Amino acid sequence: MNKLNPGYKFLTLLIASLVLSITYNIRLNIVVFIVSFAATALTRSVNKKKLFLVLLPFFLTSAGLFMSGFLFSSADNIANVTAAAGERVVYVTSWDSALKLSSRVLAFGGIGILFALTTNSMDFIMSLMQQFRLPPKFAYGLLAAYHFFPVVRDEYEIVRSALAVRGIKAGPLSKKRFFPMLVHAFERSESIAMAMESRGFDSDAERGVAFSVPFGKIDFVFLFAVNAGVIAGIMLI
Amino acid sequence: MNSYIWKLRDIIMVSLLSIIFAVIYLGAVYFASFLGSVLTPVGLAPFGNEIVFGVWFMASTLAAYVMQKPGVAVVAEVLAALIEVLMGSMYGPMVFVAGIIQGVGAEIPFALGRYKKFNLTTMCLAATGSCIASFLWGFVRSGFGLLSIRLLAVMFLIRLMSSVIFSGVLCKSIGDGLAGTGLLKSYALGKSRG
Repeated sequence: MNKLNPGYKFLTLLIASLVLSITYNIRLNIVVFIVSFAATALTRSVNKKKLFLVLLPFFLTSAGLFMSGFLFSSADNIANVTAAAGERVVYVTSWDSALKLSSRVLAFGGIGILFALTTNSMDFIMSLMQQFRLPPKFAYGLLAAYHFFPVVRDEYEIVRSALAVRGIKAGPLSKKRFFPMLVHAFERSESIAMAMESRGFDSDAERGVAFSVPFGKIDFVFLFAVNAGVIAGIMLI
Repeated sequence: MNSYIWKLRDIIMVSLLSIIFAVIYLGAVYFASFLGSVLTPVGLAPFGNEIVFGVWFMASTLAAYVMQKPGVAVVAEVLAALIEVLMGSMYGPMVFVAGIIQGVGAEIPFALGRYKKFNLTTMCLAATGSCIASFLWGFVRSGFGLLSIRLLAVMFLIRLMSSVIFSGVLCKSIGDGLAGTGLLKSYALGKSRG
């Protein structure tokens, strides 16, 4: 999985998701989830602990949608459900709908995890620039910001400590912490830009690349195979 | 001022902003799923999502408010979505499509004001634009057609309130606060403060 061109992998999975969104095929959604999960778990570079952590929230969401359907279906007579159970009734119009919605969360989630855990951010952005004509100014600007983010995060912690020293308690979303972080981010972006330009960064100049992102037939094969698979799934399953 | 040209400084600023908000977006995804599972026993799971929905438009309205240029709302939202996908959002690559749609939704009210009016009203209208666009997208993406109209109406109202509070009012006050520090001298928002 991590040998594929990241940009085309993204395009492939995006098209697959869009195709999936026209159908409510429960079995297909579950198959898509299992295949994505297997492909992710079998990729050697994937951190298994991270995989589990990422999986957790959408199992909860999927279960949430499912439970609502379950509660609803436990009402004996659908036609006679009164206002007492009202809020449940308005949620999903049937048990079947609940399954459709929750299986969809699983399918999209599986695809998302497959992409996120098998893709290196730097390769992805470089691929967008090299194969999808993202202007270098945006690609390198984004990369610079991306690699600078840990600094912003550290400063966020420093602000917390600084406030703690003064005996001020500030929660993670407190304005006292969030605001200085934004201020730092704005200062940083000015100085990063200045640093890049003073070192001769010029977006319009002819440029070579140090990291060439490989791109070949296999990526087209993947693009067509995955989407043919999904379309075949819609028709057959 | 109304130029389409992006300076490197603008790009890095919007990128950093988008990354910060991508982290917040992802946190909001987790929070929404937590809230949803708390509400599950009473069958109100989808409202967990609606309450926090306005948070997911914040990058676009804030960036647009600071830079006041065409396209900023879309670019900021798309970048934030892209990074959210990279960090492992449970909604997968579809977040990217949602990012484009929400960004365009926020962009329309700014465009109608010809990128000259940036006040509380346009900010709230931009938030409303995102809200409507994302709700329409919900019919395609999340199968809203399967839900009953009464539920949809309540969901829409909650989402609208959340949008206006987070992406309209809150983003404007953050932007004004930043302008107050004098840091934004080189951006439209800072200039308008003299």
